[in-house]
Amino acid sequence: MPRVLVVEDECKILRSLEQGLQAEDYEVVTAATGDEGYRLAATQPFDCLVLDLMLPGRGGLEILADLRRTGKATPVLILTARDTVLDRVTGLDAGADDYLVKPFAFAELLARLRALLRRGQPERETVLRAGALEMDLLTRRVVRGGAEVPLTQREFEVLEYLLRHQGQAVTREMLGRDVWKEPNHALTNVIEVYITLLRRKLEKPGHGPLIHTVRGVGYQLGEGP
Amino acid sequence: MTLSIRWRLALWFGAVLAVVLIAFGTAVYLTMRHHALGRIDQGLSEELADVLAEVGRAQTEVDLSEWLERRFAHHEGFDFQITRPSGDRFFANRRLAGAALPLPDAVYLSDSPFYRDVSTEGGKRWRVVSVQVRGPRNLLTVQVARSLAGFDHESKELLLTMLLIGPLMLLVAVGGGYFLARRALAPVDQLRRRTQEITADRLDRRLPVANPGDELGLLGQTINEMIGRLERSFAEIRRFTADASHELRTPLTAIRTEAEVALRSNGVPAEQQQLLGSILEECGRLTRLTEQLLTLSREDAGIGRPGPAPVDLAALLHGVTETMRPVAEAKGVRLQVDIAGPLWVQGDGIRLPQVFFNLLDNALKYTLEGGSVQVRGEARGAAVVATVRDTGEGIAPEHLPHVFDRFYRVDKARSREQGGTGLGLSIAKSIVAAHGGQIELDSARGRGTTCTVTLPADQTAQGNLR
Repeated sequence: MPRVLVVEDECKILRSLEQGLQAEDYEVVTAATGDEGYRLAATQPFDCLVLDLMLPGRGGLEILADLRRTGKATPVLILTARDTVLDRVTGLDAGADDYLVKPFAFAELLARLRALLRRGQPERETVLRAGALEMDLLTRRVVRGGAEVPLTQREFEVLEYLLRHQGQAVTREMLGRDVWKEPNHALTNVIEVYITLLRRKLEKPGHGPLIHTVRGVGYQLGEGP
Repeated sequence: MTLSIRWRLALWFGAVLAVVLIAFGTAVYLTMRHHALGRIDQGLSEELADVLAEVGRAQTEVDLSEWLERRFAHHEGFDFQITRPSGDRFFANRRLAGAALPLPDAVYLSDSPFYRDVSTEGGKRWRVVSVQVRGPRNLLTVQVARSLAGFDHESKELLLTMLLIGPLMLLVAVGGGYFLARRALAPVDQLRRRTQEITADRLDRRLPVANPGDELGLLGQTINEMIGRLERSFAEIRRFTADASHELRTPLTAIRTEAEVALRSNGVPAEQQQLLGSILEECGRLTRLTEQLLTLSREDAGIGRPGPAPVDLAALLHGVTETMRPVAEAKGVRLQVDIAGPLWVQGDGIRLPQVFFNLLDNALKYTLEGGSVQVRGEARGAAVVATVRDTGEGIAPEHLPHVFDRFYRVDKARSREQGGTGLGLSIAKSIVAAHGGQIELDSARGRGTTCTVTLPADQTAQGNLR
């Protein structure tokens, strides 16, 4: 069970993060101030830190810098309410491994945490599977129920992203940023079109729905919502 | 046409000098004439006195004739004529042998001298004094005259000299005036250039003020105070933007996380799932709105802009169009691209695509199945022009002037339903404006809408390519 320290001064956010992460089988330790957060991070072993930048007392950047100076290499995910380029660069320069801009989707936080925890483990899968769906990353072939499904480049990329996050909700922002590399809201329509295309190609009679819409969040690939 | 202050000063100076020169010239000319005439009259009266003395002394006409002949027949500067009442000429000096001085009207003839100018045949002008005196036998009309040829010649020469030298002096004066004005205004020009260098990113700079007491020093200080106020208000906007982003994002994060975590927990009834989903949808819209407002306020303040770099608008338009193509295909709208590239502009490769994503998104949104959307890009002189033309329903004329206004929606209910914030076009406009360009919308109801974006072409990048 991965052990995560969450440092966040907004108690509502802190409480729901704790609750949500526990539901995802994380062992969660929380701190509401920078000093408390630093004390915990410096003295206890964690698999990952979730660090708010604006904290009373010792700020997030300061904690990060102090931890790195003492040789702690624990992966750190920064939460920030500021999204200017400068803020991001400062955070990453200080030794953060990733950052999320508030207000973030909890689904995205989970995805990033998982990615951070996976870091260092070599990617060995060359075939992604979900139920009767099989995606071969080397030959770039997609087969469902024994029949090959022809996909365009972009469709393949979207499906690959959904497969890598299967069983987890994926937001439109995540798809836009990670697949299209384009942080633009105009992409919402484009993404919807691709999901429709994928559904049309993948969902054949005799098979249940594969790509589900999670209202208010995004999409989720899996045999059940 | 407006002339520069330099030229206006020089011309005003010239005009004033012209008036002064004309007045001065006229005065000199008239005074000179007056004095010359006075001298002539003085000479005439002296000569007249001599003649009268001879007339008074003579007992007989023979004596008189003889004396006059001796003294006045060969006179240097003056001419003499003595006439009997009958009109016969009693005496005239040699020069007048061929011509006769006209007699004044009888009313002017008396024993007091009468001066006047006369002209004789051949255009000769004279100054003549006439007087009536008692001679040895009867009344005689004595006339002494002086030719005005010399006087006229001198007057003409003076006038000519003034007419020649006057304009020359004026020319020199205007030139000098221009030079002086330029020298006097040079510090103003310097002030202008320094002020221009102070942009939104460099508001901490101030103008150097050499002499705080003089006019330019005061102007410099005033400008400095203004820059100070600008700097403070920009700092305020920056702080507000940062604060607002934090203040708005924190509660949004709380709502979003709580709703999402609640939605994920097992055993939530379908009804509540719907409710939480609806909350999350609104939360998403609020997030988008917040981000767009902050984008706008940053654009307004010119904050956080990266330095401009050459961007190929042709490639950018191709990229945006290809990304959006699936939407057009799904909707059954033909998407045509007609771009003559490359089209280099100076700009921000992250913000510029936003403009065209917004425009294309709008065009596709309002075009019905079977319609078409055309994206064009071309170089036009020193500008790059991109147009997005659709065959959609168009915009009514009363809405057209407001489409770039913030939160203005042509079809309120429909726009909200489709998730629009009413800020897309405003953002497009401020991004284009920040790039020194223009954005225009042209539309007729039922015939579609054309949006034209004009950006200054990047001459250097084109030059590098060749």
